Amino acid sequence: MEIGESTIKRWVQGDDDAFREIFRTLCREVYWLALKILQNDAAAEDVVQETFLRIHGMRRRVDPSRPLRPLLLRIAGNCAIDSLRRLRPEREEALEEEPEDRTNPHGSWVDRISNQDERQEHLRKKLATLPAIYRGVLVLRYAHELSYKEIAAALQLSLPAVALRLKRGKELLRQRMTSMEVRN
Amino acid sequence: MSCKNVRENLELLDDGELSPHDETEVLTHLAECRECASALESIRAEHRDLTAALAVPDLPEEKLRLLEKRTLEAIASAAPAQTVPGPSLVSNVVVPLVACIAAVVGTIVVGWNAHSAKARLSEALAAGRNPTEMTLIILVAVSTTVLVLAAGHLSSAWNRANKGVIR
Repeated sequence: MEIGESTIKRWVQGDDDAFREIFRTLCREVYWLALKILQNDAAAEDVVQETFLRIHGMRRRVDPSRPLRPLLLRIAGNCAIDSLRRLRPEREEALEEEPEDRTNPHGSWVDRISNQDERQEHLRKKLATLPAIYRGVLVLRYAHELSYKEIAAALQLSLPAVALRLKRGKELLRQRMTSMEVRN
Repeated sequence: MSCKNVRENLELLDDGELSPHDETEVLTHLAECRECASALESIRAEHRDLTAALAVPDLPEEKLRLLEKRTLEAIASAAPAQTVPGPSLVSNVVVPLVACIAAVVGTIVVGWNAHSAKARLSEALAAGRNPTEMTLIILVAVSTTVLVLAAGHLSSAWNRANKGVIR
């Protein structure tokens, strides 16, 4: 959900109520993005606080005519990645994990698991196991519906890098989804 | 466009990220190729699954309030650092203007004093008197120069201090 220009203007001029309105509208998305990247509730709460603290600090530079949501998600994405690096420096190499056997792409999980509820359940579990760099772009694209350009800005990546991470992330997800035991 | 090229572009097509030219080429191919059209359907189904699995759930009101309270407290405690005046009319215009005026006036005063001092020194030396008055004038000239330099330095320091407060 986007914030109206008049609300952003009021906030930029120092209206605390406008800030509360912005917080209550966008907090859910910021928290969810952070939670999906970090897989840790307390760390996600810290990211919410840090994100809104940062954006409040830079309010004088905000252009009220431009949408606030992409900027906020960009800050949240950066905060979450920074937090992840602080939390798990030893897993930095795992962040770069690539799908195995990319010359032989796996089939779709949709074909393998016909029951939709079961598919969703497995998908949520497998998404949680993906390396953060892939989880981050998938969340921004499919949960927050950001364009590749907006994701590139959020994670400070090039457009080809965003496309590549999405492709590899989905391929890794297909591998994990199709290699698991299913009930049917 | 070959089937291989089309398959590589199907995810971009469904994400709405293909250029108009490539999109036309892929759609033309899909109209004639059942296998590629079927592959697109699988990708669309995967994307629907991902959207559903990652859908942003509602945040319980209690948690929202907690996060709001935490954040507002953090902002309040960070307020002294955040409220340092940023680059403003004073730092961007008034201080540099005052420094410029001081520099111009200072230069005129120093020049006039130097000219006057030279004349008075010649006069004092010719008269064989102790040039105390001339020493005083030189002191005033040096002090004015120092003040002008300090004003310029102060202006520059002010601007530096105010940049980067808000990151």
